Amino acid sequence: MMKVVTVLIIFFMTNGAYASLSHHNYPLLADLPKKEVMDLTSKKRVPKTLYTYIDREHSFKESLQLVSAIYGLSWVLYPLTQPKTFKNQGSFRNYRDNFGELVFDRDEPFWNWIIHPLSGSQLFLFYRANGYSRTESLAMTFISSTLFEFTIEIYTEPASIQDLYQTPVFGSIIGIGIETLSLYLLNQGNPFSKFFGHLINPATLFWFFEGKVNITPTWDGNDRVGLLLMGEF
Amino acid sequence: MLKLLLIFLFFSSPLYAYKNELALKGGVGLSLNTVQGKNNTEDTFVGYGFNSHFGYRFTKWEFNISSHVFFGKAKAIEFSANNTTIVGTGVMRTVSFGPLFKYLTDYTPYKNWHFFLSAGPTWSIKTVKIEEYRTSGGTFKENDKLTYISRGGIFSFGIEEILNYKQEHPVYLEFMYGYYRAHDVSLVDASDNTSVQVLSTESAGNDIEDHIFMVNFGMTIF
Repeated sequence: MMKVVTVLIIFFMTNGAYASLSHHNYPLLADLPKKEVMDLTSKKRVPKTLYTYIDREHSFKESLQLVSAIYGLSWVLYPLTQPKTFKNQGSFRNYRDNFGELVFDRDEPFWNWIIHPLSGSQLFLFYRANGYSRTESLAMTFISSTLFEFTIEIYTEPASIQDLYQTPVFGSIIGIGIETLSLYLLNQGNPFSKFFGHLINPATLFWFFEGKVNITPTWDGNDRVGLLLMGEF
Repeated sequence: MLKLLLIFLFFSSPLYAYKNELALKGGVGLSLNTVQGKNNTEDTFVGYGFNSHFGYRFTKWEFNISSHVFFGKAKAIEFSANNTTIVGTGVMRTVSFGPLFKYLTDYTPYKNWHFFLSAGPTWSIKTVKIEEYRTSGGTFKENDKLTYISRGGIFSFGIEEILNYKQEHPVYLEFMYGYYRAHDVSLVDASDNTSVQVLSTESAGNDIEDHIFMVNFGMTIF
């Protein structure tokens, strides 16, 4: 059961953007279309939702549940995303032979430097969405990708030294880039930017994303305006 | 010797930095590689690459799992695999991993930049795509490539900015020397890039040796 905590932060800005509405004969806040609020000083949309990341502590049980969920999902996704490899090269005999083996793979850079780090970046963003700090997310990505290498991928090939390192480390570096870009896009407030913000960082779409803060503009009817920020975690 | 010690102490300042924390660092670099192939063939060339380090910083000691990747092109090198001798230009990609022990000294040659030393063993895979080649014996096709598994070591020194928080992204400049000697060579058919086939693996007989000097420039990412 998700605990709902409402955080109320009201910023009163006597000389802020909304305060200037009446002073300059701009339309009143109430006159603006219901679904759109804009900052008339910068002439930018004010997004209804602020996307950010909120780091918090996690219990061992919670971390174990998340790692287990990713592990289970990996068993489903691996044969679905690589059916040819799974069918042609996979067997339980291979699984037994490859168990505990660690080798340098000879794969092309496309796999080692694009596919694995991109997978790692999405794992990193999954853990970030669940409230882990950047360092913790890297550590959790390392655990998840190591489990995948040593207990899932060995159905088709031995665990690879490059993948063990590059998936979490390069994945986290790419993940930070995606995180920064997606937050920028998501906080622009327009549907086009939001679409691409979610597309590159899909973890922001799910219920477990903890960094979604609703923004409601407030106005006391005189010269005091502010923003009400409300988040759930 | 005493003078050196006095100079060292004079320019020393206490270390105040983030400590007992995990950190990820990364950067780019320029390299000068000397590759020795079979029959005393040798070439020296300039390359480029990048490096990353993930590890734990105590107060002055750091333990990292590090990776160095560098690229370059060596001309007129003789390679041998699967009973085939190949002489040609090799486009090389080397990826190395290993534990790296680092010690940050109190010596500050410039402001809050502290001198450091680091060293560690390393394991690497070198992929050689051969261009403009001639062969003798065996078969070697255009889409084939050679991979060498090597062992070696890295020694480096440099300066690193010491700041209170890693969120300030401290920067480092590092001069590195690495030595690698191949112990296994594989001939790989890379015509299908979704699934490469290893055609043969044999002892490299210390065919390939690398001496690498690298200047790395990077920062603490988080």
